Amino acid sequence: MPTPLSHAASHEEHDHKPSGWRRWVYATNHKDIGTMYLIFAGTMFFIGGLMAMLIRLELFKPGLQFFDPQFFNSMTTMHALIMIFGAVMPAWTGLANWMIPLQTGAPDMALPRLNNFSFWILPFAFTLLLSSLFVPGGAPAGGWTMYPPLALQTGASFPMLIFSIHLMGASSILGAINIVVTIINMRAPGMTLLRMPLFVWTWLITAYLLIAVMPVLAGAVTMLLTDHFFGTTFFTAAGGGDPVMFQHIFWFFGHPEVYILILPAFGIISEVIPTFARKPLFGYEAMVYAVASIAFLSFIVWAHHMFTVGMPLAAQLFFMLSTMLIAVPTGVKVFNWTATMWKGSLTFEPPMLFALAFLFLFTIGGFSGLMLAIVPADYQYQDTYFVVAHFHYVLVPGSVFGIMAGVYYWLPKWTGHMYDLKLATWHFWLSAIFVNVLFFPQHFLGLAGMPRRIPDYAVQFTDWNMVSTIGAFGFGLAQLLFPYIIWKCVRSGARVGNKAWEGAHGLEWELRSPPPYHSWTTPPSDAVIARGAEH
Amino acid sequence: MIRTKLAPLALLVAAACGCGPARADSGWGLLNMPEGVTEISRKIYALHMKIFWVCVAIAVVVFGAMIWSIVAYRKSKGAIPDGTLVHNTKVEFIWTVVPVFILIGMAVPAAKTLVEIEDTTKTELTIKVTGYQWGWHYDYLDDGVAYYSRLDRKSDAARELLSGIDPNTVDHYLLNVDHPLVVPVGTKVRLLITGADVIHSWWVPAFGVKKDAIPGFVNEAWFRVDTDKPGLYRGQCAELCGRDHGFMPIVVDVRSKADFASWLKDKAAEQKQAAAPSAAPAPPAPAAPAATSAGASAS
Amino acid sequence: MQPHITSRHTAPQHEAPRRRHVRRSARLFALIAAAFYLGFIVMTLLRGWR
Repeated sequence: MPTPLSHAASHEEHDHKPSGWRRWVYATNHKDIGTMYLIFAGTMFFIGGLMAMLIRLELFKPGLQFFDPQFFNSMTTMHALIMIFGAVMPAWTGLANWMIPLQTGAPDMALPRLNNFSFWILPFAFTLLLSSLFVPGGAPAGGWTMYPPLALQTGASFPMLIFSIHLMGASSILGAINIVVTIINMRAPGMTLLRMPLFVWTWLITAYLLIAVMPVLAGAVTMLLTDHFFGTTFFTAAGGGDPVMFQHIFWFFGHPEVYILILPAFGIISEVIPTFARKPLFGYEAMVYAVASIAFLSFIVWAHHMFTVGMPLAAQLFFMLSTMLIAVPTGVKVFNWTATMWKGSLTFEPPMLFALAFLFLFTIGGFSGLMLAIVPADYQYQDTYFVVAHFHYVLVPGSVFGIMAGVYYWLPKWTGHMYDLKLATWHFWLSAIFVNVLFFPQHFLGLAGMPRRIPDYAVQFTDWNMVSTIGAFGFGLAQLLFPYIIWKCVRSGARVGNKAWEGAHGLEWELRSPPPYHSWTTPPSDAVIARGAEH
Repeated sequence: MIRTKLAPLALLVAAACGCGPARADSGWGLLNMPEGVTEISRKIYALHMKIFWVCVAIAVVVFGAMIWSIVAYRKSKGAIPDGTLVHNTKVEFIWTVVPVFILIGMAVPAAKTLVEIEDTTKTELTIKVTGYQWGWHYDYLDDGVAYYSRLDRKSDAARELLSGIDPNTVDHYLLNVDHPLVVPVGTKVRLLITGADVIHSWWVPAFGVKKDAIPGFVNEAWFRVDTDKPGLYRGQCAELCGRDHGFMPIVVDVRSKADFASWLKDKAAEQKQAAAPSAAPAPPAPAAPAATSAGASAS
Repeated sequence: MQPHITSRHTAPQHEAPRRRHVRRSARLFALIAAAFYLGFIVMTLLRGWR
């Protein structure tokens, strides 16, 4: 396995590490594990992306040209599960593994063996999930939300789905515990909480969310499992259960989950914009409080995903108001990022470009989110392509662009090499243009009445679906540049010094590039920490 | 660069401009929610447009500030960073508090409309709607009329994988049924919605009604179509319900009160005759579990 | 934790309490996670019985 570290880290004689496959299978080093997480996430991103291409291919024009509806449903279900649990979450954990010790002045993660375990669960979980494509009845097709009773109709792949989710959940919980414990216990002396970079802050809060809600998902799917195999009736009305109860439990997990997917992106953007605006982050403390309030509110808004199930009026009003309230801290963040650029000195390297696209497009996703909070209007939007457009705006130009901004920001640090800036700029522009061609027309489709999760549609929806599909293929193909740029950077990029970017601040830029195999073997001095924490 | 950044915003404005209710069936003009044919659907539409324009106004300010920063504070133009601009209590207070008031301005009309939607009193006609895999069953509870409503045959033939039939040649492809739901204009129609097997969702955009059909539970919804708006209104199942989720449309045939009354009378007589012993064999009913409402209880 | 890292990172007399803190907080969070898992199942059970 090629690694950014393989040749560089061998310079230092005390960097002894196991060689060959043992280095990876027995990995306890936070950088090695981070690299494995990122490679895994990238692989899943392309597998999930391929499924998205198949979905858009079938939707290019009305009539069924390629797939049976059941297979189409499997694709939407698997695409979601793979992108959420296989691509975005592991990418964040990979970035956390790499950066949290570097940014807090720690030598490594607090629990290195647990770290190894939480990574190596993932390949097994996803092998299990993906192999369900080949069992009788096909892969799960009841949607990633797994609503019963439909989910209980799943064939042979049902237990595979449940166990793979249990495994993913265990992996996330262990990873989150490790991150919290590291941030609490392993910071260098002098790295006070309010000196921590925002990426560390957002991950600390994300990890708390993970510890609270991943077990709830595990509980929900455990109950599905016993309903299916052991005759319980948690979610079956005929036995005194309640299918809507599943939805409540699922979304009690599911709403914090969407913040798990986006909060670390807030952290990255809060690092990238100050660097390329050459100005400290505006309102650092307000940013921390905003993230904390978003995380808190995320626990009391879950039922806005299910306004059409028939809830009492008071409950609908409560969830509408609490959801709208999230716009306040989210607004604070957007305003602060804008104020950071105000009177700065901006340059537009690839990480900044991705951060700027995030700023514009995530805000659009925020607007559609606000519209969706309005219950009467939600009756019209619910389960249409308007919702699909909304969550893809916050997940693709939100989370995914956040990951890309992070990778392009820290890649020179990890490898010691600068990547091809021109090619990465091409990657950015192709991604930014096609992501809008792909998802913007879906707002129109949803408003005009096209439900989501349908393999075929009425002919009046043809035009915008064609545009969307063209955008999907453009976006998908543009992503092939990403691994190529990274590969090229590892192999042959120009060498960079400690500080890869002129305006960068933070402890990670005090170490050489690539950093030594064991990060802060001597804790940084208070002066170094203070210099890094200029905000 | 800036022009591309503006593209989504321009599209957003385009969406708003093309929002007239007149533009219906051609594809490119389908940009917005239909206004619909009930008082509630129009209120929802007005609410939707109001929030949309508030969002556009906020977008103009926020995106304007972002674009200004990108244009004016470029290093290549010699911009010097103002490192002291890191905190401003007054400004931060304003942009925390002002949104709260904007949100209240949105929440109040939304809550009012919601209260009206939830008022299911004084209904004049009650129809039980049951979703099943994959179609709908309508039961006029007080009149002894009940029947299944499924995707019409032409659409059903054309939607097969590689059917060779061009969907453009099929009348209302995927949005047509064999037996539409028939209701009168100007009448507050109450729907009791439930599911026979899995969760479905009964949605007719023109009425502003979407309600989940949940097995074992009965949901209530209502609509009153404008007296001057008889006609055919179409919708689809809106909750993933298995393989043929995309193929269980809803068609509502809204008739004048007199036409509806005579239809109901004829239909009742026809069903009574069909139910009589040794009459013509009953129409082949799709396999829906018998225990539709066995465990039913109001949620 | 690999001893050759930690021994250089901090003086040995600081290392033992930190290890204890790490373990204690890790166990605490594992307990919280388990409580959420079981709590939600029990809650659903109780709801069914009512």
